[in-house]
Amino acid sequence: MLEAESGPHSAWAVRRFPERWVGGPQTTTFQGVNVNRITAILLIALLLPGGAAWAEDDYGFPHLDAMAATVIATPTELQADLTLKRAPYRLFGIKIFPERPVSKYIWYHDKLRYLVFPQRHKAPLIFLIAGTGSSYHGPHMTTLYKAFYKAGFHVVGLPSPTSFPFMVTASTSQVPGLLDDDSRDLYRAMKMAWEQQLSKRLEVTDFYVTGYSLGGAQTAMVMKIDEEEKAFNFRKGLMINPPVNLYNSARILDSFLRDNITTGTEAMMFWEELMRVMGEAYANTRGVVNLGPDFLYELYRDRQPSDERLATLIGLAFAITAQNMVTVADVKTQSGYIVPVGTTASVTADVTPYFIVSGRTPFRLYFRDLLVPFYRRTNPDVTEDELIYRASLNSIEDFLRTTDKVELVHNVDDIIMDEGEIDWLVDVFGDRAKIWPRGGHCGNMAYKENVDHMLAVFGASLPGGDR
Amino acid sequence: MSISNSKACLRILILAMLAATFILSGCAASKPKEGAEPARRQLADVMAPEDISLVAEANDPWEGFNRRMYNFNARFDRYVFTPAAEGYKRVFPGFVRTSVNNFFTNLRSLLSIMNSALQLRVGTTGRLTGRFLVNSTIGIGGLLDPATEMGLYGQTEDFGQTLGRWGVGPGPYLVLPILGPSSVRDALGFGVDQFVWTTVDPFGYESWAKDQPLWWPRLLFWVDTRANIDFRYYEMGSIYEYLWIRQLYGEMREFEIKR
Repeated sequence: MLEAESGPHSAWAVRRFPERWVGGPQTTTFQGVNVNRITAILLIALLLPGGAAWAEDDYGFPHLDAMAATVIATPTELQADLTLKRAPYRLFGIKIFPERPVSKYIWYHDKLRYLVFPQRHKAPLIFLIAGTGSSYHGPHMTTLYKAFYKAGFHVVGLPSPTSFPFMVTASTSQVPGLLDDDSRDLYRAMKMAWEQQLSKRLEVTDFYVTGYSLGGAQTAMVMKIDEEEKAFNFRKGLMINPPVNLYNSARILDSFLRDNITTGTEAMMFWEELMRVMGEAYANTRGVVNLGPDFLYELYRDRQPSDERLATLIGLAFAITAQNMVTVADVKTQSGYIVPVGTTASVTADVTPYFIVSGRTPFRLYFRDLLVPFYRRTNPDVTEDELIYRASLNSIEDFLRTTDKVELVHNVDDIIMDEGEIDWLVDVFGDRAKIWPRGGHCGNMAYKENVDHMLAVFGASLPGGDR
Repeated sequence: MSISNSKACLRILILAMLAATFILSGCAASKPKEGAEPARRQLADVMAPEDISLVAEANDPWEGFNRRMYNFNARFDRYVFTPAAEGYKRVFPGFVRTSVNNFFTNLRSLLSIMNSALQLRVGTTGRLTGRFLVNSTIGIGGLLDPATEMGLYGQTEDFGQTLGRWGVGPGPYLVLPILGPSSVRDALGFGVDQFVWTTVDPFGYESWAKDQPLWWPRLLFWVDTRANIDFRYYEMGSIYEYLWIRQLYGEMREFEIKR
């Protein structure tokens, strides 16, 4: 009977009722009452589409809790139609620091690579900034490429400053994490890409910028830098589910793993499970695996794990991002944190110990033990709190309050937000903020209404039929 | 004569690649500078003595060789293989490429049929046989794939999987030239499949192919194979890609053997 409730969203909610209510203490009470109660509960579960008593609203995104929404994201049948008949994307590469030697060990990251979906005619251009640790590809980026391309934009996608390729090729400090410095690196990359490559190939009317997650926060800072430098004169920027304070959000994500895995055995079991799931994906996609969080979430989309599992997964996806950041920043700045100073890189070296140590180093420690000491090299008096502030939107509050060019979309239940942060955003952005009633962290980005709204911010819309 | 001839060529090719690998990647050691301070965060800080790590447990006694080969493959892929596949995609329209891929897939599915039969998997063997018959006839010699629409899904079974099915463990991890991640068992399985293929020579395909100028049918086979794999080296986003792939390869094979 319960199985009759089909559909990817209802299954999540309904699944828990039998465990919680039928299997609970009620079963020990008088049998007749019990049966009635079970029937009533089952009826309620079947009648309410989401299986629970959420307040009614006219937002059609499934009633998933925030963790589930973050991982499952939007069921296919509720996604905007973003099918493209042809997708003429091209990968470009640019040397941001020509004088920076290419390391033998990382020879493959010799240039900053970015992806372009060019229109054939004169059109507006939009830059996309990926979320924490993500490259120019991945599920969320794909949604953005397709939506904007279909709506008639040239689309240019950049990796996050916290991603491996960007840290190596385009980051000034190579210890990313501060909003201002990372965004300046992004702005430089955008300018160079435009001046050296894109301006020769594309006819552009206006420039726009958007980004999700950490890329959303950087969108605002890039807009602010552009106010001063005016290289692009961005007409509008849209922030999608940005953290208010990177450090707070990272601490929350760190805790998902730590609070849910307490023993080595548990960590081991989850790790084994995750590797199994990834192995299946590896078999099914014939080798396409990237370690960005949204890719890892996609693996679990149809698996219906429990809430603790979901939290662990989200925490682990973030830990994998931190693992890479810790290692690359440590080696590039010669900080001697997990790799001794002066260690020669060789392609044949066994780096398993570094893998394990960096894999178990949370972002909080990345900040305290790598980022802060690096900034103290040039300014010994700088405090950790000052740097945490520079990693937050609070540091550009005045700009955000007064500009009319930056808009925001967010979700009330976004799991990376600390208490009061959504309220702060609502207060700062006023009617330039659109806060959806649910969707977790970026889970509803591909949902029809969200895509329509996102494009409408830029005065665009999806064409009626396929292009 | 023809078989030993082509095998000799293959052997020379592999030797040449091995030599190239060693020349290309050098032999630098990865040791901390003498007198360098130890790192501030050590294994002991993150692991209890009884803790184990799957990555550390992996069976990879030839890691130095494997890493070198992995790196060589990545270079070969970036400068030769992928450009060839991309050029192929640019020159030939989609329906031609699909037909080429269908044709090769159909032909090579004979190996999958053999292996699933050796694994005594009756359902899979029946499905793959039906698929082969449908595609070879209605599908005009394998150029089209009507079988998939009829629900006769394809599936690759190789001799490595057959060995795995009967309890042979993977043995040490082994990165093969060009072919990439493998294990002693799976490399052996690949050799057996190749041997059977060239010895049986179904429909005289191989003897025909080797007489063509430039071996173009074989080149086409490899380019088509590469064009249909989306994997790109060093795109995973982690500086530990080798370790991640090694782990994933093992899991993938376990999944494929059970399937």
